Amino acid sequence: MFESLMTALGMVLDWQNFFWSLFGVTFGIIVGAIPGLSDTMAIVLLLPFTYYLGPIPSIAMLMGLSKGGNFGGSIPAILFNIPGTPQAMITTFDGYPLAKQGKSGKALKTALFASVTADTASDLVLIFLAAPVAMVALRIGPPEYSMILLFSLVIISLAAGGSPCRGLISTGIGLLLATVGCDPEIGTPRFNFGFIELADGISIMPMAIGLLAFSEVLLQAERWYKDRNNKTHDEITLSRPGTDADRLTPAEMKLCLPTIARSTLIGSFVGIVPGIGTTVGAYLSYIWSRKKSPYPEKFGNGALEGIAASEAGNNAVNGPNLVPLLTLGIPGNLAAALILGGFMIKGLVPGPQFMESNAPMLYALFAVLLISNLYTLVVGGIFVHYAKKLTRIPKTVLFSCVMLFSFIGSYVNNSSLFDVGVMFVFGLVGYLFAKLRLSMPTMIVAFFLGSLLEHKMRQSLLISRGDWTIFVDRPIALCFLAMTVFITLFYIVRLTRGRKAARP
Amino acid sequence: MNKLLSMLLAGTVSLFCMGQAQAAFPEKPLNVIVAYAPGGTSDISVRMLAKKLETIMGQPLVITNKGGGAGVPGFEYVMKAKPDGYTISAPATPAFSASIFLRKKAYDLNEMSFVGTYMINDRILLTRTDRPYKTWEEFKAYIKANPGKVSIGSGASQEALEVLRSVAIKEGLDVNFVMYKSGGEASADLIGGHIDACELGVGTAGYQSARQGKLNILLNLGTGAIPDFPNVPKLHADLGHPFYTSVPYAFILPKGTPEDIRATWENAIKLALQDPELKDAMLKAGFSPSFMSGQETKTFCQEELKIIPSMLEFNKKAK
Repeated sequence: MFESLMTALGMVLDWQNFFWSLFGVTFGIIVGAIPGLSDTMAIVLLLPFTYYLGPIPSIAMLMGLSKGGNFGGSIPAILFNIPGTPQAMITTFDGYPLAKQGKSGKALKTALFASVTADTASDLVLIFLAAPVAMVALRIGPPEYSMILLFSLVIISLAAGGSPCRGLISTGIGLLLATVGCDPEIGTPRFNFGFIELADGISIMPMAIGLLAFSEVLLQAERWYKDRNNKTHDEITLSRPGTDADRLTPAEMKLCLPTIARSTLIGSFVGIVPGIGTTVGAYLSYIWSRKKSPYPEKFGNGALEGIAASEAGNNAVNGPNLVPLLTLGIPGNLAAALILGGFMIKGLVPGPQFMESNAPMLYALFAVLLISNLYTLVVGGIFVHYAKKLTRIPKTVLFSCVMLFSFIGSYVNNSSLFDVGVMFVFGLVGYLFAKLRLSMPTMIVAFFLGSLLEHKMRQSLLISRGDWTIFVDRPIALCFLAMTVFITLFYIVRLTRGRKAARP
Repeated sequence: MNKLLSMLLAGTVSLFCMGQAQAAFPEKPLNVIVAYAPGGTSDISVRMLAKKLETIMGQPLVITNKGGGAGVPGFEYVMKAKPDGYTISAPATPAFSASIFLRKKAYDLNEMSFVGTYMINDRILLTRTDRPYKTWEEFKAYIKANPGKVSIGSGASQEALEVLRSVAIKEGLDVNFVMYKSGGEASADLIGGHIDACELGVGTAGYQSARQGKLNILLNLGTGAIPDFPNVPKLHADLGHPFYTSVPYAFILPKGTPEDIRATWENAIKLALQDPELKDAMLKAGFSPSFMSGQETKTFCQEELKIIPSMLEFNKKAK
């Protein structure tokens, strides 16, 4: 143990690790902050570089990219109401109102603080609890998976805020879109209207870019056109350096800590279940924090805890997401799949024996994760300082750039023009959603969970030969099913009571 | 002055080129289109090979992932490209069966120019080591003793699933087939014990576990030899089952590519696979490197594509 730690120390203390990690974090923050471009895309672009680096520097760079990207996405989310990456969309709920109140500095610093704290905590989960976490992950089979998904879906559609009817409609649309693709059981194409490109379903990246970035461009253009004769524009006033609006006071930090702790817990759990993803982690954390808050009405109007919950929730997914990769060689998300590819090209095969036979490398990898977190804090701090100046860019220029990057970002993902079309269509859909005041994040999450839910439910029923008791036979599945039923009933009761009270 | 200089330069270059006009083929970077998302077996294997091909071809290889649509759009993009050898598809062959399953349309293999195979991706059937069955024969007996209770998963290969279905029909086995979205997802459920056996490609997480002795391999659904497990029975060759699935990972150029350019590529792949370092890295990753020439690959694929319709017919009849 001691010997491998010393070997690991030797592997870590190499200028290459520090350099590539810094490069990864910086580049990650930049692409994360550009709406349309994302950290996964940056990983794909930089993958060829990893051939020329050793295994640890390549991992340092890839992890830096994903950590930097995760934080970078919150910068435009707060300043312009456009999430830089899909996982930052929940941050817009409270980040943008805060920026409009002239507290952009405070909002950005809260995001940074929550991101780094939760990321570090979740890395510690990975480092110290990898083996037990992997055991839990293996217990989750199709029936358990289905019930966890159902639970998340119900919470998000019921508790999303706004009118419950609109929440359910948004969920319904998301679920409907999730059916496009192939039948998961017999493999026949379904609702793809003859487009072979839709055989794997609607690709999530172009869809998210359209809904989150392109639709906002359309809305801003409309607003600009309507206000063109007015002299008064709703400009974002920058927080002045040195004032309370620009920094996160120790008292506020303390206020956010319980939220961050809660969100880290949720995010880590979401990370254990592969495939659910960071956005769901952020959304569930947000909903729970609002529930726990003494002033839930502030959420959505600039609550610091809202930003903290969203950012902590999405960053905490990352650590545990690597657990199945390191323990079993199974990637939990696309970034992990690319890291797996990087390992394999180097002739390293992650899996049950990787931890024993390559212990020093594993320790070095953990050290590199923590170094990346430190860099995110430092580089993120510098970016926060200068990012506020971005609001001085004329809106016409800014939104033209966002539009350009939306096109590039949706194309690069699969190098496919069809995807650009998908982005465009969903830009219009997003515009309609905003006009009809439907919830876009709910729709995206429902789309995301919907196809997984269908897959897992049908797998369960194939295993049980159509016997639905498979969902109550297993303790974990039963537990989540009971919670789902309980929450639904509770919600219905509260809703009908509220109606009765409202009636004279 | 500049004009004079450039003329002189052009003259020298053209003189130089006249001597070796044949060998001049790659004079700019080469585009390799991988029709799948980065990080999977197809992507990783191509990237491994590309490193070696670069030194042989003397030009950088630019790998572009054109994922989605089960590899069909990415493959067809290359087939429509200019047939000058600068745009090539790899590993192209999985698109063949995908096209049949997704839109009931088989490709005419004469409408493309086969370059060569670099590895064969065979599908294998795996189980946990703590199960009462250790061999394929024991597994069959177990299924017969427990009709309807055994679940077999598929790591996202419709073709392999149909092969297994045909085996079940022929042997009179009553099993549940469970389809997964990816090899990783299926591996997790197999290792977790949620399904009894699973069909996976070589190089997946489940296969790596088998190499480390944590899973048992019962059956090879393909025709190639699996380097780490030479004694696993082959469904078609050893057990005499009429159907099999074996996907040669090959480079394919659009129709009409000049023969000398095709041969340059073919030769480069052949040379690359002779490199012990590359071979070693591929074996370490769990891949099975093996070279087949363009013509051999074409014949191989023709044989396999003949099987699919008769297999589907066979399975349909039993229903």
